[in-house]
Amino acid sequence: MGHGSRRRTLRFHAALLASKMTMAALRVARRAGGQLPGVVAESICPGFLGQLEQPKQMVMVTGTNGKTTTTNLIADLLVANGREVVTNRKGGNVAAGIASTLIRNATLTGRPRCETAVLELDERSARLVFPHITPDVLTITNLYRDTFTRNAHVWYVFDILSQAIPGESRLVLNADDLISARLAPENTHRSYYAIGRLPEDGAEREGIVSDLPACPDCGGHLTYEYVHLGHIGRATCDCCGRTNPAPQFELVDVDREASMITVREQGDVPSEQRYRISAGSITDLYNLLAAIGTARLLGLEPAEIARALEGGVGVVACRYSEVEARGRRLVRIASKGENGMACSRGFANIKREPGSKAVVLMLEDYYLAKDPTSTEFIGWLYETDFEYLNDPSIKQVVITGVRSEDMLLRVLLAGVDPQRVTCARDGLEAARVVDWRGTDAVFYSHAIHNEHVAEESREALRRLIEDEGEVA
Amino acid sequence: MDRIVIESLFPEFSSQGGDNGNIMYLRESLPDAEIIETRFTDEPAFASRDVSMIYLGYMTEAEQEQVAAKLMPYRDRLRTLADTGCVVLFTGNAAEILGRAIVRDDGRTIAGLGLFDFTTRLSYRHRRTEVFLGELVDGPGEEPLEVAGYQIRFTEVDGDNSAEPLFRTVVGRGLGAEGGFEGFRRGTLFATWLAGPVLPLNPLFTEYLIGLLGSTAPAAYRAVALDAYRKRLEEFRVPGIRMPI
Repeated sequence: MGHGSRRRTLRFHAALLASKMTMAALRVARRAGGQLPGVVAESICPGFLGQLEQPKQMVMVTGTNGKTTTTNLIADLLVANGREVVTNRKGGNVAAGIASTLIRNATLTGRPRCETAVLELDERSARLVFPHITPDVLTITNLYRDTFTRNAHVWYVFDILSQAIPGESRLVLNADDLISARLAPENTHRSYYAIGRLPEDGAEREGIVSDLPACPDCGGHLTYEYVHLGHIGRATCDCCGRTNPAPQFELVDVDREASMITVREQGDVPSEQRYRISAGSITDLYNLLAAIGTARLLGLEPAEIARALEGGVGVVACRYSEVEARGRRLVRIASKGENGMACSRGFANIKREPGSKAVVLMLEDYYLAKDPTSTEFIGWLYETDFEYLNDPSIKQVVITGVRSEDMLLRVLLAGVDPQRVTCARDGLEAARVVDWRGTDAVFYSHAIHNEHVAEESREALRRLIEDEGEVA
Repeated sequence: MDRIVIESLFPEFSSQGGDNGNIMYLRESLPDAEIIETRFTDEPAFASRDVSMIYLGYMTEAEQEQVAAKLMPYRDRLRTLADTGCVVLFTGNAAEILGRAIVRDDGRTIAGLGLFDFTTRLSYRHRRTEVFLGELVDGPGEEPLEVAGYQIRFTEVDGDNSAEPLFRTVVGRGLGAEGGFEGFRRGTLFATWLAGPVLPLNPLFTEYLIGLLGSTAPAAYRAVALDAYRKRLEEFRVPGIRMPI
C-alpha cells in the first residue's frame, strides 16, 4: 500500500495556504465549517484533491446506512492498537469535506501528518473523489433507497458507485446484500462479510417497500433462507441460481447474555474469534462486523481487535440516548430524515422494547420547516413502516411539526387507532400532552437534524415528571 | 361488474417515492373493492377480465423498460378498456410508458405504448425537483378542483398536451416548453408525472376518481386528508416556494 508523491502547482500551494488560513479563522471564530477549507482549496486550485499527498494507508467507508458508525469503529480499533489515524468524524463526507479533513492532516508543505486515513464517503460523491483518491480499502455497508429527491432510487446510486470504484481498491462488501455485493464486478479484490442465521430472522423480505423485489440479474423470484433486515439476508434465485457470495468473515453466533459474538474467518486455516459487543441490534452487528473485517485486512490480529473491543471500543450510541425520570425511561432515537428504512428500523426497535410505550414523532426536516418558502417532499412517509406503531404495547403516538397532518394520515392508514393519536404543535406541547403516566417509557423518534428539539422536549418532560413527584 | 375491481400493476416495482401510497389510499377509501395485485411475472388481470381501474406508479428506469415491454402486447386491450370507461391511472414515470418512446441519454430508445403523442427524454445529468399546483381540466363542478404534488424526475417531455391536458398549471411547470398544462387525459385514461402519494395528498381528486368508478364513497380519513391538502395548497402558493434537496 502507499501513495506516491504527486506533482504540485504553485496554485496548489496557494490553495493549501488559503485553506489553512480559513481553518485558522474558523477556529478563532469557534465555527465548525467542516467543508469550507475544502471548498476554498478547490475554488483556487481545481483538482486540488488530486495534487494533495495522501496518507500511506487510505481507508474509505460508504453505503446507505451505517457508514458513520463503521468509520468510527475502524478508526477506533486502529487507534487502540497504536496507529495514528485521521478521520472525518467532524468533517463532511462529500468531496469538499474529504478535502478539508486531508488539509487538516497536512503540514504547510502538504505532507500528511498521520499515515492512515479512515474516511466516510457519501455514495454520490464517489465519482468526484475516486478520480483523485484510490482507497487501499473501500468498505461498503449496504445499499438501500435513500432520500428520493436527491438519490432517486437504489440502482441510480449503485450505478454511480459501481462506475467510480477503482479497480485497484480492496473491496469489503456485505455478502448478505445482493445489491451492494454486486458493485464493481470487474474489481477482483473482494472480501465479503455476512451474518449467519439468527433466531429472530424472518423468512420473507421485510418492509412496506423493497429495493430487491426480484433477482437483480434475471428478474426471477428470490427464495430467502432467512432475512435479517429489509432485503438483506440469504437468498437464491429460482431461475438463475444467483445467491450470496461466500463470506470471508462470518458472524456465526450472538451470545446476548454475555454480550459476545463469534466471527469465523475463512483462510488457509479457518479460525474463530469471540468479540465483545456494546450494542446488539442487527444494524450494530453489521457495522461492527464490517469494521472487524476491515481491521483484519488492515493487518490487525483478531486478538488485537478483541482486546480493543474489551477495552471500550464499540458502537457509540450517538443516535440513541436514554435518561430516566422517576423510574420511567425517556429515550431518544435519531434517524436519518426522509429515509424510510432508517425510520422504519427506529419504529421496529421501539416496538420490540419491553413494557408499554408512548412514541413522540419529530421526523420532519427542522430547517425546511422553519423556512416558509421551502417545503419537504412527503412521499417517504409511504415508504416508511408506520405499521410497526400499530402495536398493543404502544399506547399513544404524538405527532409534531408542520407536516403533522400528512403524518397523521399516514399513521391512520397504518391502522393505528385514532384514539391513540395526539398532535402537538411543537416539542414543548408534546411534553405536555404525552401520556407518561400511563406508560413505562416515552420514545422520541426524531430526525437527526431535530436532536436539539427532541432534547428540549425530553428535558421538559423529565422536569414535569420529577416536579410532579416532588409535589406528591 | 357488481363490485369495483382495481388492478394494481406490478406493486413490487411501483413504489418509488411513495407511489405505493396511492393504492394504499384507494384500498382504505373503498374497503369493499377487490384489489388485484399483479406481480411482474404474472399476466395482467385486465388481459382476460374487465376491471374498473388500472393503476401503475413510479419505478426505476430499468423496471420501467421491462414494464413497457411487458405491456406492449396488451396495448390495444388497454386502449379499449380506457375507451369504455375503465379508469387507467399511470403516475410518476409510469406516465412515460403511455407515450411513443423514451429516449435515454445512452442513445437507446425504449418503445412506449403510443396511447398519447409525446416522447420522453431521459438524462441522469438533470433531476427536476419542483412543486406543482394545478387545476383539473374538465373537473366535476363549477369551482376548480385543485391538485398539489411534486415533480421529481430525470426526464423532460417533448409533445403538446394542450389538446388533451390533465391539469392546468397554477404554480410550477407542466409539460413541454410552455408548461401550461401537466399530464395527459383522454376520457378515463390519465397520465400524470406527479410523483409520490398523489391520491392521499389530494382527497378531492381521489373522490373524483372514485366517482368515475361509480361510487360516492368519501376519501379515507377525509377530514384529516383535507386538512393536509388545504395546508399544502396554501403553502404552494407562497411566492418562490421550492423543494430543496
